[in-house]
Amino acid sequence: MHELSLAMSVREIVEEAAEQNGAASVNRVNIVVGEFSSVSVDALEFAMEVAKKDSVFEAAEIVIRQIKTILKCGACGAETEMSDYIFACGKCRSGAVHIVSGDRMYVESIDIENTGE
Amino acid sequence: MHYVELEKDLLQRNDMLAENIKKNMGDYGIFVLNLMSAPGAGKTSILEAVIPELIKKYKVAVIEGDMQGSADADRLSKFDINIHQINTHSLCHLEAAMLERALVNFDLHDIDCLIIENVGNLVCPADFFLGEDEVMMVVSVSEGHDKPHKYPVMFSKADVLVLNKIDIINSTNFSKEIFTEQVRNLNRRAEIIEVSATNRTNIEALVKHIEHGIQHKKGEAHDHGHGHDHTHDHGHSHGHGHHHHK
Repeated sequence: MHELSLAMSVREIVEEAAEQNGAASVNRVNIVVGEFSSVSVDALEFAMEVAKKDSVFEAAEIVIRQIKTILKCGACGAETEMSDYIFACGKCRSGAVHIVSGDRMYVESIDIENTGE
Repeated sequence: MHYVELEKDLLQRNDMLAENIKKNMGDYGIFVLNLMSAPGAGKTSILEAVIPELIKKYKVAVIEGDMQGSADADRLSKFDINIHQINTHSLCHLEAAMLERALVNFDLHDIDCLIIENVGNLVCPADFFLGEDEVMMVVSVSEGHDKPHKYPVMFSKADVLVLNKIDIINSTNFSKEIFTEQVRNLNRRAEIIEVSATNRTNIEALVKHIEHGIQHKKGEAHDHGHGHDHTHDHGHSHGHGHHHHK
């Protein structure tokens, strides 16, 4: 369980971005969690409730979207969704694949309210 | 309302620190192993088996990560090596920042191989790059042959897999065939080394593997800036899963 430390990373990223963009408040924080990472969306949601206390985004809506793992095939070049956690191309079944997305977690974007608006 | 696109990775800070550690270890020519497994797979027993062999030729340092206590460090204190214990308290894994703080306890000029024994856990440590050259994952036959399918992320990131407690395989229903097939579905490159740490079965193969890593790292540090182009047939040049993070 390291969702709380990840939630604190979210806090750091959002606070920094809010300051850089002159935000008076943050309405919404969009987070993307890859399926091929060790994070539980439910646990992260819960941890975010704790992590946003007394921050610029205390009142913000936290939206966490889980994305599938996408594999790119070195043999046929196809990009397919990983199925059943097996590293194999969904088109030609080659094992010469690598992950192009779905193994990361990131703050995708924020919606902010600027000062004086 | 104003939309700000960020695309900022939650592990960015850890990965940055880990890359710094990797560069620093590279400058000193220190081979770094990140040892991961479930609790009780035999990480410390494996270290007890390989360290006496490694220290005949090389200077070894160990960082022990545990939630609590110094039982593992105590077990290794019989060897002439530098050990530092990190207690993570409630945290389930080691992070680069903890490693960075631990490294001030060592004289880096005096180390050939740094072994990090991560917290026993098949889930969380997989996400945190520590600047290692290799992820060595230990699995014991008593855990069952279906672990790769249950813990795909960690198995996909292993550079070498040590299958421990091979001496008791006949007392279990562990199928090497199913295990290997499941591993290969996730990881085509990791070498699988079967050992028994307590019986010392095949320990020499494991020692050889680590020595090869040490020599390779020393060669790299030595050749630094001289453009060496010979190829190596082991895992170091292969992509590490964490490289996907930006």
